[in-house]
Amino acid sequence: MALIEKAWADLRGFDYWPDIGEATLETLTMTGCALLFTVIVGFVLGTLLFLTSPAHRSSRPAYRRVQIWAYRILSFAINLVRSIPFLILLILLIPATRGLVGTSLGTRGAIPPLVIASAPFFARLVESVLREVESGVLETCRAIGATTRQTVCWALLPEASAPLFAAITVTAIALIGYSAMAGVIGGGGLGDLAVRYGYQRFDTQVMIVTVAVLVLIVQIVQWGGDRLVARLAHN
Amino acid sequence: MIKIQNACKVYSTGAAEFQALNDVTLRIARGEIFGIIGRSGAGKSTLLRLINHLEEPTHGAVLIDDRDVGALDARQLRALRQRIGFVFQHFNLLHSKTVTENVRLPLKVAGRLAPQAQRQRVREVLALVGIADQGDKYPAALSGGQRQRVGIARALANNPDILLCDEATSALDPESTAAVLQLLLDIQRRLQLTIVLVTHSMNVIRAVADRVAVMDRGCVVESGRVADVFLRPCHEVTRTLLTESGFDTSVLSGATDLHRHVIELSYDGAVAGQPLLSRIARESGLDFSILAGSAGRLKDTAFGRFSIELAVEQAVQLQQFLAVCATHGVHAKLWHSAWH
Repeated sequence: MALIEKAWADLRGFDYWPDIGEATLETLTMTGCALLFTVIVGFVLGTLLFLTSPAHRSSRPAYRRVQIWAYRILSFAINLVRSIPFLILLILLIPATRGLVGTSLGTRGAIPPLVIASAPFFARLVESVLREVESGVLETCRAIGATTRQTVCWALLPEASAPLFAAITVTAIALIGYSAMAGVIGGGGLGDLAVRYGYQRFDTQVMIVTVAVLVLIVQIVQWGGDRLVARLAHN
Repeated sequence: MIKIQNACKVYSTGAAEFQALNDVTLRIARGEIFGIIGRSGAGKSTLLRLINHLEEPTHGAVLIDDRDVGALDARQLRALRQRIGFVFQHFNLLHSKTVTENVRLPLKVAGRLAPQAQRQRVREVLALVGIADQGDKYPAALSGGQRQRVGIARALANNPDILLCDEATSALDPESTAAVLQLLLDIQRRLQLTIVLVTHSMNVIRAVADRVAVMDRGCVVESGRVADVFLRPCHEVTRTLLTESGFDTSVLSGATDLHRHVIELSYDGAVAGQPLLSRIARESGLDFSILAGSAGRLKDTAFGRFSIELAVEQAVQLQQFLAVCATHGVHAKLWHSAWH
């Protein structure tokens, strides 16, 4: 009992709520913006991977050669970025980030490396999701004379919408984790707060509250994603 | 209207080559229902897919209204495919879209109609296939027969001249099969479509087809009017397929002595309505016993097919009997005879 009372007293005396609130907002901004760009870039890359993959090679030799090389180059580039540890990628990208958004610090500076790190990951998820779409869907589109763009936009995307949103959820949660690391380098967000107070100032309380907030965010994102996926599934 | 000339299709997977089609030549006339039958792996689906170039022939050509399909560029090929409906065995509906949206897809792709007119057209075809009230449902909420109706409605949306059906009834229960076949007959008559349908079931051929090609190991082994192929099959595969579908083609080996002959009589069309067997018996003055046989209908054609045993002592009597058969338009084939 005494222990609980002490914890409660500590929590009432906790005067870092404004910092926690600000850091939460920063994390949400970083993750949200990064997720938006990741989904756009990753979706385009993933769709290209799918359309150039061995299962969809054209019978026209010239076109086929373009597909083969596009797939090889794309696949290699994606593997390359994915094999670099995020922390090292962050440091490597500092000059590029400065060029892109004017600063390598703060929330803004964290977004480009986050997108570059997670877009290839999301692209692979998109590729495998599209691969799971029944082959009959593609055959139908060919049989009704659809262009590739029509096939992707009107058939492939709607058919894959539920697993695509599941993949977006997975990516969003991975991004929340990445954003904590990005914060350490450039400053900002819940990860930054946890490290500064918890690790550097030995203030365990701040660290625990920070982690609790992160846990809450992740739970909410997963719950929301699951609900959306369930609504989109018509099977 | 559809000509397939010396079509070959070879699939190469690594070192192994598989010849799916071997020098197939076919001609399909405008407005007919043409059946392609064979066992799985006989190449019938590949043959069907040549027509709208979902598969490209390794050698040979496909001509539709004398235009070489292989010579079309990508845009022309898409335009051609928009004029050819395709019905799939497993329906291939989009699960994420309602029935209406599924049927509207080819209209959106063709882009010839305004959105309002597209919706109007969807209502028309759904009414045509008898599911006017199911438009707002998702495919998962429909039965197999209803899903195939959606598949047919989608294939008809763009007012095609040709409808290709790949085992359209194979995934359905017997009741839905009969209903879908009736629907195909109905729309063929109303819209004057050319229908090419692939099946492994002789009963499907029997119910709807005008002409049929029998395939075995990549070759067309026999083709012609359905009545001819049913009543007088030439190839072993055809005979097996007929027997498996309950259409008995076996000839009972009677002919126990020198003067007994087993003859197979077959006829179809207008003559089938007349009392042929008794007339033949009377006019030839010869008695015979029926060993096996059946009479019935093939699509709209009445037919009869009987194995009879005839006892005659002189060759001239037998000749006379066969001549009487011929005057009545009855095919007679001598099976067992000690004289031959």
